[in-house]
Order: sequence, then C-alpha cells, then structure tokens
Amino acid sequence: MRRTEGTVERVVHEADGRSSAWIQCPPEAIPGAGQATLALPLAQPHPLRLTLYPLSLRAGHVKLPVPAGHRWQPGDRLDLLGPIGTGFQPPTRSERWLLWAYRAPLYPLRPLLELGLGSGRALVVASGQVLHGLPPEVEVVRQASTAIAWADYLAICLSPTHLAEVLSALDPPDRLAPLPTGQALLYSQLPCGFGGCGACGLPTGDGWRSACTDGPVFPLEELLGG
Amino acid sequence: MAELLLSSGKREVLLNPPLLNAAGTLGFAQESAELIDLARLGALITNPVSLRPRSPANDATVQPLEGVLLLHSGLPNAGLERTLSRYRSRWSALPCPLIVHLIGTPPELEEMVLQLEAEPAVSGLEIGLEVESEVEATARLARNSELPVVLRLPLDAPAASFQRAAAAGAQALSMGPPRGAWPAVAHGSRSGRLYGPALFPLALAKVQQLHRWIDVPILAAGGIQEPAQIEVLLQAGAVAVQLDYALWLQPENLLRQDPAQA
Repeated sequence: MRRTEGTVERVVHEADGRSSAWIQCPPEAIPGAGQATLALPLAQPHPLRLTLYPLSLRAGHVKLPVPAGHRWQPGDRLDLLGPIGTGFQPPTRSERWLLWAYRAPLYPLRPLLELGLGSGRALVVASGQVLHGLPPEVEVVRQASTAIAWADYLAICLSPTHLAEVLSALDPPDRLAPLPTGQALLYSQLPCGFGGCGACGLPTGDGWRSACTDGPVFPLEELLGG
Repeated sequence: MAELLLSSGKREVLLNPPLLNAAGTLGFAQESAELIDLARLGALITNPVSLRPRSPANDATVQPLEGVLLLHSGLPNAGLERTLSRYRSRWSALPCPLIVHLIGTPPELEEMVLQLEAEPAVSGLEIGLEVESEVEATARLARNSELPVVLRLPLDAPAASFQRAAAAGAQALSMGPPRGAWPAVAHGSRSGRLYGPALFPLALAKVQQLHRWIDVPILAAGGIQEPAQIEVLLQAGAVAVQLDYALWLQPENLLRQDPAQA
C-alpha cells in the first residue's frame, strides 16, 4: 500500500449509463483485480476516501468508476491510497470461470473478465441485474446454481451482509458435487484502508479478519470454515 | 503548542506535541505507518482493548452523512492476552509513547490495568467509559493505577458526569465520540459512533464549559479537520487534542513537520 497521486485522463460514459474514468498513476498504485483503491478527489472533497475497485487495467493506468454524485473531469487530481489488500488469483490451470455478482455490482469482477477473455478461458457471468456491455462470448445466467457444477473457478462479488446467504447456497447439507476453487470479494467501504478502524471486520473460519488488510478477496474455503 | 506531562504520581508520560489520535482510528501499533509518521504524534492511542476477545459487529456500519460519519464496528479486538502477545514487540519499536485504550466493566478494567502496569512499552492508559453509573468506580481505579490514566467520556455526556469523574480522582479526562442513529436502507435504524466536522462546535463548547468547572487536564476531541481548530481548542483550555478520521485523509495537514507550527 502506497499513497500516491493520480490524474483523471479521460472520462468514459459506459453502456449502463454510468461514468468511469481512466486514471494515470504510478505503477505501484495500480491495483490488481479485486484490490481496492481509496481515492480522495482533490477538486471535490469527500468526507471519506472513496473505496473503488478497478474496472480495467493498463500499464500506468487504471479505470475506476466515478461514484454517483461526483463529476470528474480530465486533469482532476486524486490522492490515492492503495492497492488495498489482496485481490483475485485464479488458478493457472482453471479453464471455466464463473463470475457471480450476488446482489452486488459486477464491475469489481470486470478485470477478471478481461483477464479470462484474454487468456482463452470460458466465461459465465451470473447476476440478477440487467448487464450491459458484455462481450458476446460471455454467457450470462440469472442463477449461479446452474453453472457451479460446470465451473472450475468461481469468483463472487457480494456484500458482507449477504455472506451467510451465499455460503448456505453454496454449501447446503445435501451437496453432492465438490465446489470449484473459489474466491469472494467482500464488497464494502474500507474507511481507513490499513486495519485502523475495525469497521470492515468479519468472521471467518479462523477468527475474525479485516477486509482491508486480510481481504477484500478471501478464499471460499476460509469463509466456509466459519 | 506546549507539551503535556501526564502523571499518576508514580509514573509519567510526556506528550510532545500534545497531539494524539483518538482510539479507534490507527489500529493497535504501526498499521498506519504508510500514511502517518507516528513520530509526529505525542502518543499513539490503541484501538479499544477488552479483557476477552470481541468479534466484529454483524451489522457493522459506515455511513457518511452531511458533516458527520456514523461508524459502528463492534470494537473488534483480540482480547488483552492475545493483543499483548501480538503487539508487545511492535510497541517497543514505536517512535512515540503508547497509550492503551481499555473498555470493560470495572472488575475487568482492574484486571487489565494490573497486567498493563507490568508492560514496559505501555506509557499510559485511556479508559473508555460509557455507563454513567460506573464513573466513580472507574475514576477510583484510574486514581490507584501506577500508570497515568485518561478517563474518556462521550462528548455529549453531561458536564456533571465529567465533574463526578474529576471529583472521584480522575487524573485527566478526554472526550469520546457521541452515539447516534440513522434510518437503515431496508428498515429500522443503524446506530454507532459519530465523527465529523459537525461535532467541532460541540467539542469547543464542552471544553469551554469544562475548563471553567473542572480542575483536571482536558484532552479535547471531536470534528477537528484543520490546524486552526487545534489551536482554538488549546486556547479554550484543552491541554491536548485527539484527532480522529481526518487522519485517514491528508494527515500532513494536521501533523506538520515542526510541531510548533501544527
């Protein structure tokens, strides 16, 4: 984790009507898929650093969502703290990825989409929301349960408040098939980003963890153990 | 900005500059080192420590509102024993004195105070008090401790409670975040501690009031966002100031290189 400065290079109007922005920043500030960046816009102060996950990654650049109510413009400067925590690490031998946004936005999983498509993986996205701008080679399903047995890697984005629901859906008492290797991004605000406030704490199989320092991406195994 | 010597009569801690973090903002040791130069603090106050482990709240809340941040974490911590084994060596390496913030019932606090008196890296204690009926018992405990103890009451506690704590022997008093509630998205409401610039007028008024009525050192806190506000609180009678979530934003604005200019 470093504190650096980034500059808004270009604002993009996405297919779903939201805005995102390409930020130019030092290489060490660029988060991996699932890692957070805590941004403080210098032109439009905010009471807390904004917890943002990358939409897309390029050398020296990261694409971040522009939060609702914010108007970012090219040249705007951001005080950045990050990358925060650990990100997604799909197994190198996995071929069939299921990306599941459970009552949470899909956007934090977008870098995995890019990575999967770029490396020839088969991709299925599960989401209850209407999704825009997905490439045609990505299959979309409403229920993740229809694709779990197919996948050999499962990446989930969910709020910590829905963790128990997701875990019980994944691991019912009558489950027969083994679960694929999986990771879950616990999508929440990370007020301080360094484990200082305890507001992102959550229980796991081995005591409690902070999403900002021990996550925000956790192995499913660890969460199921809880 | 004058330094502050806190003394129990048996041991003392020099806070230079008289600028500290508020408990619950910077973790238990050097977690904030990438963001903050701890040498610029008069002391580091740990997150709250209880005798037994506390899990995070199931309904943890971070709710930024206009001028206020509502925060509910459940004050998770590993309990005193594990906290000591996990952080003891890191505490020894801190570039500033260490004050451990304690929470619990008077008997739990008594047990923790005794244990911490034997820890060489611990320079002082702050006890977070939220139950009015325990003011006297906790203040007596503080008076009998070998370590300097700051007793923290919520900012919105009546001045009479601060007076009672002082009369019962508290060595120093600090002001903790008040509690508030906000409607939840689905139903009901979420409650938690309140921080933010909207609290500064309350903090200043409380310092002015307590300075007139109480003859023990007051450590002020609440909504401080700018160096000028630190100066105003000190001029109003506070002997030191605690900074809260402004430290997560651009801490260099509050903790200048030369403490005399802060």
